[in-house]
Amino acid sequence: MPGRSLPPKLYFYAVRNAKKFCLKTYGEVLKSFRVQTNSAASISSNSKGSTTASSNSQSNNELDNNKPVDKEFIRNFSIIAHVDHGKSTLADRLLQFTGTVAPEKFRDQYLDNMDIERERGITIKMRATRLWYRAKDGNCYLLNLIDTPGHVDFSYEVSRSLAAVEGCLLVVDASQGVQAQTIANVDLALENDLEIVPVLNKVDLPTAEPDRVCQEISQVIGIDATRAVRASAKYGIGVEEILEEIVHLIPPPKGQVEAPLQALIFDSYFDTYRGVVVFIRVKNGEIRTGMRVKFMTTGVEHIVEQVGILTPEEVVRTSGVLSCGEVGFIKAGIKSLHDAPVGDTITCCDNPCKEPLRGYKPAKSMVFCGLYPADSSTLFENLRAALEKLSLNDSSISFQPESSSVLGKGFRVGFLGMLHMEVVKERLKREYELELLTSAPSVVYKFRNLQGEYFMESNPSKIPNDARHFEEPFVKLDIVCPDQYNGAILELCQSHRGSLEDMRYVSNGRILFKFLIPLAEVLTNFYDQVKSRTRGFGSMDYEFHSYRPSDLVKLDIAVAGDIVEGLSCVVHRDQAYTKGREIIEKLKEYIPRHQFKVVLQAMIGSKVIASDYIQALRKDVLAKCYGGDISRKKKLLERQKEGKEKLRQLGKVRLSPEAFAAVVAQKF
Amino acid sequence: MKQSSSFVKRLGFIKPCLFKYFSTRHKPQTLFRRMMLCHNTSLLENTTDWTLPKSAYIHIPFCVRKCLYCDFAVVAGTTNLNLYDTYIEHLLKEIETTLSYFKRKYQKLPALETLYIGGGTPSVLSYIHLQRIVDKLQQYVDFAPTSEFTVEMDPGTFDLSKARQFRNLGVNRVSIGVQSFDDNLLKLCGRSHNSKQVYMAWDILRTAGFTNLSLDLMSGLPYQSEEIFRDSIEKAISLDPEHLSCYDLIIEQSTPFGKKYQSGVFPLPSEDEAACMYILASSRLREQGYEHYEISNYGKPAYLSKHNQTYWKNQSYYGFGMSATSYTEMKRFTRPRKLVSYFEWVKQLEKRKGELECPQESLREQAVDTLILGLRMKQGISLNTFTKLYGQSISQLVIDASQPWITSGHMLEIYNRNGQLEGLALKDPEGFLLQNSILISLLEKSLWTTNSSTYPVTLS
Repeated sequence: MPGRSLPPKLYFYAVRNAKKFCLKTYGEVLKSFRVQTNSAASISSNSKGSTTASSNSQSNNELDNNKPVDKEFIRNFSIIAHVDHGKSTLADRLLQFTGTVAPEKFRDQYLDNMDIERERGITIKMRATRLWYRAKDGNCYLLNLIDTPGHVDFSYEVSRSLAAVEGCLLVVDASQGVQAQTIANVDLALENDLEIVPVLNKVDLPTAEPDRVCQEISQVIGIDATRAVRASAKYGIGVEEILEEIVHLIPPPKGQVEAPLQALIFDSYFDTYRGVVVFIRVKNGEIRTGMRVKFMTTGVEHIVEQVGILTPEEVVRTSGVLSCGEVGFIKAGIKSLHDAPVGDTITCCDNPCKEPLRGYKPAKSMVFCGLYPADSSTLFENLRAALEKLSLNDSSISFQPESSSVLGKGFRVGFLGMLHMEVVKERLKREYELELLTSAPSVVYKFRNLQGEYFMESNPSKIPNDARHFEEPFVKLDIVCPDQYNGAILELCQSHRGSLEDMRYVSNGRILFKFLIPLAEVLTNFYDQVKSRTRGFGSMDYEFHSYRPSDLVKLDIAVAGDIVEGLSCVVHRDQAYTKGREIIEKLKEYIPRHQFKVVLQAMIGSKVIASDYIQALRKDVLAKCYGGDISRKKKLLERQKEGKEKLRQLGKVRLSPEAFAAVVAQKF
Repeated sequence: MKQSSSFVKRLGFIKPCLFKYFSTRHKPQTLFRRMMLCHNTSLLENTTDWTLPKSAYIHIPFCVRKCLYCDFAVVAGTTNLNLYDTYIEHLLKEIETTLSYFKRKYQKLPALETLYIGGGTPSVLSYIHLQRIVDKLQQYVDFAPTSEFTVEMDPGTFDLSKARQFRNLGVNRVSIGVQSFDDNLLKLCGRSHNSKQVYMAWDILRTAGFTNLSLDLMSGLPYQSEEIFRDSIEKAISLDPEHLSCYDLIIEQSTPFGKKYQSGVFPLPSEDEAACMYILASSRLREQGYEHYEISNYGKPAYLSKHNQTYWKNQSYYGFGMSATSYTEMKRFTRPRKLVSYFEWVKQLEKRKGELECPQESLREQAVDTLILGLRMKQGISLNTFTKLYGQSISQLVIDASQPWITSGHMLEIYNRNGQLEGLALKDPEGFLLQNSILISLLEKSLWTTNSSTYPVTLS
């Protein structure tokens, strides 16, 4: 057997080189690896049979996708991890090891099928799949893997998918150790009473310190990590052990087939041809085609048209049943995603359950920004159509029309967070070919007017000048970093109006900070700053906490005497001057010279707090114009005029679309 | 066609008075009165001859070497005299073909008022070459007794005998390319001479008896400070030239300078510094008694360049030679910019018997040209003429569009004795400096916005 006689370290290199030099043989190498570990196991257990599917040991519900599976042999699980700790790669290995995906169809990040996900290496929409695994005890188990998005913006979806399983794999990078998101995810898992199976990933790295990380897991998370599987998803090491742990540690689904139907929606999407496809986990009872079902929070009723499972492709079950404990999809002629929100419970109309499963929340936008078509207003309708289509597929987007004197007609769009916003913008650009201008992102402020009435508004230019008693959303912010950077982190958070709530050691030399900080402060490049101040070793995660009063003011920017509403912003009083200066500097850089002196002012109410000016245009003339230059000169003027036509108006001044985008639509 | 023929008739009674107006050097007020007087008599004059040029430009593309900022059509560094000969042959052929075409068509050609031989460096030609050109022209047209005959000459390319020979051929004005009196700058610009050669050239020309000399200077050169420029101006003044041209450097993308420097960025002077140099030249030279009669041109009162004014007054002119532009019969045509293609083109021209294949400028284009060119001059545009040529409504639009610029002090209104608005002009130096911006705003509100199908021709 190839590689069997090699010491483990050399074996890693053999596999690595095989991958590097000949990708096609990777599958073969993997296979040989499987055979090797299997045979090693069989030698050690001194048993005769091998664990391949061809053996004739107790055959239970093996490989029959069409029939409901005995609950005892089902394991539903998720994978949770900090970003880049190897979640998607591990999922890939599980798919490959169990032979769920044919080798010729396989590609990396198999469960992420949006282009943006693949490019950025992140998971946005969850995929679910079933894996058949014959365990060493000889039984064949059905493992349902529900992949989860990794980013904080989607933490609600993570929590819903965790509610659909009984256990989860906690993947921790063996060199980086426990990070902020690891903690946040474990908290979510514990909330859902899940069995946590720790996995130390990337043990092949020279910097891996599995022992230290084990200790961290025990210390911070409070679970016993001594049994943690030491794996390398990249090279397929430890995959079988992980599968064994899943089978043995994660409990089979509870619930009763006889009970009234209770199914949790953990995801849904809109298909142009088939309508809404709903992904569910059946908690109690069973769901059949032809059944009249009710969505409990929305109250909508539908007749189930199709029932199926995910392999990860959607496969319709001809038997038409999805039973207690199973994961699958249904199709019921639902027209809108809003009728089947994630987290809702499906029940049967004839024999309804008493109450829905707990934990449902409507998706709530945290970050808002204005999206405007970059050139003409004819694109406004295109943008509307695109947003409508997108919201069919992503129920967490909210939008309403808005018009701005500077940017024209557009929409105020609400997002779950910054990543969500970027992804939506990217999708609008890519899938609908829309060139967009974006106004600076902002949060929703609460304020009172002079009459004492409360208002909520996210668009700074719509906040009246008499607004007072501002309140803004605060988040709980977790940062984990090596202790040598604690000064830098404390300073960063203090300068962003954060208050330190808690601080403790995660392990030797690594600290966990807990801050309470305004959401607005973490929106723009805060994460980058955490990364750069800790030389990449810091990690962060945050979660909405509450609305709290803040000493905020509305800062207006006047260009040549006119207040430009697109440039207004809400800032803390102490930061007003700095922010005003910053905007003015930027304007000064981008606004070209005009025939008049352009005065730039930052103001609170009618009080000017900072100002600067742009010199008047001095010279715009062609020195030479003789017989041969006349046509050229005419062309030059026409070109200049065409350039001028493209200019965008900002009060009295005009500037190029690029400069306009840079000034009004702040880059972040 | 219908439009253009009626147009020629229309111009028939305007043009002669225009010409008289332009050919005398009086204050605008008296000029306009004169114009009104001659208006009636002009109706009787022949209508065909006014489109015929009284000016000619001849391009000589040869240079000792190409300056680093220059994007003219130039053949640099050739000492191959055969090439000179071949070029002159083709040039003569072109002159012959073109002028015989005009002669056939119009029988009598008006005498040439101005002849300008530019380049390149025409002074690299020998006197024989020049004589052949002059002889060829004189076969077809007379030179008017007061004609202005200019040749561009660069320091270091001629000696006293050549200067005398040129003068004997009738050259009575020389434009000498000095550019700067700073040797470092001259070297940096790739000029083929130094300041000492400038003085020598100057003495040669004066000795040869030239009494109308023009001197070219440049501002806005790389590393050029206001001090260096001031020094050049003072040295130029000390030579007491009759005429001066001061050009602010234009960075052309195709030139070595264009690749090396970016406008307004060091080592080029900033916009403000370049503007200061311009203002310096304008104030210093006017103080010295020169008239700032065009954006970049200054002259003692009797020595304004007649030839160049034909361009700015949008009058017609012949053009001969590689890359030269002509404006004849309302056709603006530019010749090929490469030697070989020019030779080829001359052969084609012969086959067509001298007729240019080029569309006529529309009335709208002419109006745009008149505005663009007229506002380069201190005297500006005459609203009377403008109205008669292009209609009352367009004229009114231009007047309205200029109001904000008048308020801001960039434009001037010129009134006649009766208090009527007679003309519009740019103010020196504020208006001159912003000419492009001003023109765009005027054109946008007048000629560019009007749809051509509804072009308001009010004259019937």
